[in-house]
Amino acid sequence: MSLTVENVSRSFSGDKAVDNVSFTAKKGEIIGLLGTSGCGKSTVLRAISGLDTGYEGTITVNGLKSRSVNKDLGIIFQEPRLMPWLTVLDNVCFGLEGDKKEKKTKALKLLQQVGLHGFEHYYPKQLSGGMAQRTAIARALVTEPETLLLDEPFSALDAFTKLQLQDMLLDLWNSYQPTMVIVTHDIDEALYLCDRIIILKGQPGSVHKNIEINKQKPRSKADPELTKLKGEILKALELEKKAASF
Amino acid sequence: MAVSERHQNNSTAFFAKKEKAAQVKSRYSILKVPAGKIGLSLLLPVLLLLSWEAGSRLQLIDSHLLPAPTVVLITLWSMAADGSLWQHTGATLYRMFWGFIWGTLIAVILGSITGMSKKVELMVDPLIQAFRSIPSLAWVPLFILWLGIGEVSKVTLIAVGVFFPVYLNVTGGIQSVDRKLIEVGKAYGLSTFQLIRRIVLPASLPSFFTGLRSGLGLGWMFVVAAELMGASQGLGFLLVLGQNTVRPEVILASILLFAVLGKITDSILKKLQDKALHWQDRMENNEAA
Ligand SMILES: Nc1ncnc2c1ncn2[C@@H]1O[C@H](COP(=O)(O)OP(=O)(O)O)[C@@H](O)[C@H]1O
Ligand SMILES: [Mg+2]
Repeated sequence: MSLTVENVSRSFSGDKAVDNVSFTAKKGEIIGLLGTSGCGKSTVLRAISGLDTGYEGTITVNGLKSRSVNKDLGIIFQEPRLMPWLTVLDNVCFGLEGDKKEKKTKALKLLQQVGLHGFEHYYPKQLSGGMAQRTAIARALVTEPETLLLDEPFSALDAFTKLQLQDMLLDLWNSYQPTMVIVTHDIDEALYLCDRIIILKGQPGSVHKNIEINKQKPRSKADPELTKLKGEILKALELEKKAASF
Repeated sequence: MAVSERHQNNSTAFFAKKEKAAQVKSRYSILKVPAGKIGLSLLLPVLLLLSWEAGSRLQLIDSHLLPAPTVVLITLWSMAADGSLWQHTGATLYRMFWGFIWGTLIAVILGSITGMSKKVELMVDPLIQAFRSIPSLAWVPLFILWLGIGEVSKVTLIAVGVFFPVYLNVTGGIQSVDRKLIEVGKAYGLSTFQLIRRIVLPASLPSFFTGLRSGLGLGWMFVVAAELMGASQGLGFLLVLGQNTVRPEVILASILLFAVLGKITDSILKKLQDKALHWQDRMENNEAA
């Protein structure tokens, strides 16, 4: 198992935000954490990342129990979070160590892969939202982390850019198959990308369903099986909505 | 009197017409044609100078109180010729330089510590705020008593003036660094020192420059005060000299020099600022691009 989350709970000043969440990810698997906003998806991801250590339970990454930030983890946040004083190239190099020339070669290669060839000397203020997020993705991937954590990476982008970047992410995944955990509230996105969807539900959030999807990627968006699955997921989430309104 | 009134009416009418034309034009081209911009901003000062000169020549203005601009220029010229201009300017610049350096240095050191550590801020900040509420000129007698009337007390006074804006901006700049950017650094496992060097420092640079520039402004204010309190050279000394010898042209020349030096030093800082902060997403930067 590449990633194991066991009985993780997290409280913020007495209020439980996440309750007893457990799931595992095989090496190279793409996991989707799906749920309505506020159900604790980001909280789980931050616990995995080591940026938040105030949780209960156990998280094991590559066989190592860890409560601190780990070099084998890459994180992509909802916002690009680029350093505005660094060029695209230097932003991508941010997490790299070692020889300057080597860093540059690696970064340029990744920029090419995310479709930003020729923009390496731009500053973040000159980038569109999609380009900025591409840069952030390149920054996270350039260190070739074995596990990649993504917190709603495309939710701030327009529909077209979003589809483009989803395909780009699959391409990048193909190049060395890292384990990925993608937080999303977009059912289509989860169905398109993920090998396993974990539905979080409730306040505090807990695992409601753990659905495995054995389907070759890239997938067709019109696949009847996926459409059926979408109906099920919608139903599961809608139930929560009813419960909440009582 | 009638003559001057008519003269004034004429000039305002002329001015209004010209301004209107400039306004109409500027709506379309003020961003693109710097020449028009310069002409527009020079219009008022030039008119003022011309009417001042004319007023003096026509003896409408008492030249014992307000000598003509040309008289002021001639005074400056003769001071440049006999070398006293450079001596006084040099003395003032020297004090200003060291006061600015010391004030900035201490402010940066103290400001970064209080900005970085909540505990130190709790300890130090109330004290600094208390000192800040003292009008700094009130220190003058004490400084003279402690440090004598020489250079040290003057440089110290200027440093005090420079200190506060720089300190406040450094502290504020560090405290308002985006937590989200720091998190990126933490996600890459940067040490505290690396976080400071690679994220906190560059992110608080804009605020630091704001502090530097307002510190410089206050520094110029305090150099006047410092030199008024008893100096044998310097532009402030020229002010006193002009007053005691009833030579308003000397006072005006000194004021003019203060203005020019203030402007030059500030534009040097602004150049540095623009260069260091070209990455900032500001209206001003985008306009220039
Ligand atoms: N740092 C925090 N302090 C206090 N409450 C928090 C904090 N982070 C998250 N929460 C709470 O935890 C719950 C889950 O938040 P989050 O994980 O961000 O939800 P999601 O990402 O699914 O939208 C929310 O009710 C939120 O208010
Ligand atoms: Mg979230």
